[in-house]
Amino acid sequence: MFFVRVLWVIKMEIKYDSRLVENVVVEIIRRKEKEGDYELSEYYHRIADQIYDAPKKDREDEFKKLHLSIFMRLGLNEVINEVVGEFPQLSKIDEMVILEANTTEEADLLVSEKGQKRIVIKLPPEGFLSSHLLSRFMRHELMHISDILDEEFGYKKEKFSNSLANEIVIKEKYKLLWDIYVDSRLISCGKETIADKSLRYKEFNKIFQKIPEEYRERVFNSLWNSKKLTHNEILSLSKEPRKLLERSGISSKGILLRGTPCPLCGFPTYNWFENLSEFRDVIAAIKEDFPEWDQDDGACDRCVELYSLQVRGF
Amino acid sequence: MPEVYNWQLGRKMKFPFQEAYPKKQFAFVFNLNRCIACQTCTMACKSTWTFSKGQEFMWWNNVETKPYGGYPQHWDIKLLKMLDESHKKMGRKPIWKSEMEKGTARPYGVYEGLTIFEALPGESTPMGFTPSEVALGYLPGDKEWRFPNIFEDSPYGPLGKRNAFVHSKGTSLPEHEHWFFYLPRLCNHCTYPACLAACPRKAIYKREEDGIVLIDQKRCRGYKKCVEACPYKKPMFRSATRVSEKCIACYPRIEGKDPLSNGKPMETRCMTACVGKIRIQGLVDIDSNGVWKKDPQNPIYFLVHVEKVALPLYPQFGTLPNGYYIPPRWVPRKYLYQMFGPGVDEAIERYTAPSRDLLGLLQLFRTTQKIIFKFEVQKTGEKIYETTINGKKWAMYNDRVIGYDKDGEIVVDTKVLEPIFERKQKDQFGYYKHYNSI
Repeated sequence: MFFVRVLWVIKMEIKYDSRLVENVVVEIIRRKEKEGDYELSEYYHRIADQIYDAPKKDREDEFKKLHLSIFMRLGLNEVINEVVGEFPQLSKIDEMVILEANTTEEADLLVSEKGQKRIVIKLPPEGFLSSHLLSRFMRHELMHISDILDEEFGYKKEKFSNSLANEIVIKEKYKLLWDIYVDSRLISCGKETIADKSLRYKEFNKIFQKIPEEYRERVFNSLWNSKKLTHNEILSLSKEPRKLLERSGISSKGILLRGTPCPLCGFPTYNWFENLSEFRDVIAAIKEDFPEWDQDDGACDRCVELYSLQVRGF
Repeated sequence: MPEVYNWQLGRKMKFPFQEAYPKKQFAFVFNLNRCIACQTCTMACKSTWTFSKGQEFMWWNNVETKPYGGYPQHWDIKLLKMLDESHKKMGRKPIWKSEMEKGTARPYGVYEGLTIFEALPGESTPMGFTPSEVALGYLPGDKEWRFPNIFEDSPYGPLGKRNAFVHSKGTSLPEHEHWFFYLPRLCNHCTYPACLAACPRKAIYKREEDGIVLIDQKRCRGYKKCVEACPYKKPMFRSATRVSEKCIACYPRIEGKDPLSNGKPMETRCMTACVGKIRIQGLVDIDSNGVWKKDPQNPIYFLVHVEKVALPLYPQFGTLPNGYYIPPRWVPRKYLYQMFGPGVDEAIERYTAPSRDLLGLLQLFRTTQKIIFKFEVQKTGEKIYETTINGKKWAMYNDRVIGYDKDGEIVVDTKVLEPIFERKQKDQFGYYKHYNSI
């Protein structure tokens, strides 16, 4: 691991994973060679040859230094420095560690027992091959980190559900809603990020299928134009899609969302009973057990079947 | 670029160096019908050669599950795709002319497609050393080296449907609808090694005495060109020393310098550790023109050139690999043609109803650690089994099978029917003695 101090006011140190640095440098050399540009390759091997001739025990460290020096010479750290400079909130951070991503890119904030704050960003080596993509990714991730640091946002790590399956579903929604909140603000400030409005809408369309199609765009636009959201709000919207409708000024009364719980049995259902108003005796029987219930609240197929049998004297 | 003769392709092909052949060649045969992926070979190699710092992801010997597995991940699929693209660009077709000839010069016919040495768009040498562009290849990333047997036991199934099976009544030979097989791999110690050709430092060399391909650890400067060029992805870069390493074919054992060997050449660690008895390894004599000298009593020669049951892995790559495989019988032929070339049908037919000599030789797999230079099947055994295979009568005889070492001394003497030892002698307490107590 190597240290590089950022030039601007914040005291944060940025550390780069030596494996990542090496893979980036080697890949750039390879690409240049393929294009017929051997200048960097010759420089690299000239220095490397000297290291090979030196005692073996220092070899690993010397190579780390060589890779980092080329990494800096190519200005690959500058993109990161520039994007970091756009986020004054990061002055509260003590260090940033940039690691090689094994699977997907991600960012996280870690706080030590002594209260030291560290941002960990995982990037694949290919991420450094396009400064344009790198800056967009960094900006998006650092906006998330800024939210985490913002006390008003009120971020806290918590269990979203006791059921693992439910936890995954809620997390997926939470992640998308937060991404929408992050990207919409960046784009409204004229900054580039990893996804534009149409791409986020596409994702929203896929994940929030519970919301009837005719309302989806309106709900999404309301989210995209949100000026202020908090962790608790996003979480509540992830858990209860009905609230997304309400927040967009749409009355959820009479809208039966797929996969939401039946008000009678409490089990999530995709089969709401249609034309319930035609079965007055069933409605009456339900109301006997659930006086607060209204036919607009809906009932699942199974519950209506049960009450139908009851009405028929079974 | 000079031209060299590749007998596996039945024609001359481009290679960066002039023809030069060893006196003997390290070669091996794996029977894929018997491999159970126990990874004993993998661990034998690992515990002998690659247990140090920087070798954590280094598996000189590995066993992968085909069709999806591979170490590094998708190594063959990636290169086949690249080769395919080159064919399209150059307006060529990767076809084999099927006229096979007897003898060693053209046993699989003629390959009319491009090898990895011929599939490059152009040649350029702007630097003072051999450029990476001597062979079509790619450098796998860290992610691709993570799993030595990813997709273990994952069978081929209907396209686009996970965990789905198309058959309802089971599946049977000659081709299974759902299939996978294990492919053990190590360096093929190729006759035309792409790693050697690509090394800008000329740090890789092929030994005259046994054809083993080695990387000179002092000359290597970690260019990784060998990793990029080897189609089988068997040279591996070691981050701790910053040099590349590869299988050394346990050369002290081949030289007879292992303390156990008493000066007699021994098979490698991965070969001798094989519990499935799928492996046999040896040395074959090479003629001045690069083809194998006629030696039907040499087990490897017999399997490759007489019975033709053992086939090279991806011969179309053009490196003339010296690892040979008896193809798995249940796998769809189209897949096997791609992997082993046009000799597949004949190999499977002969393996399914083996001759007395072949059946005898198959019993010698893993009966001794010494290299068998010559084998003999004495066809004096009684008939012990009779059946019909593919409409033809076939009989098994309990013949005597003998293996000889380098000096012609018997190192194994067995029979087709594996001998059974019944322990009868009781100790003083009336219990049967455990001679092989663990």
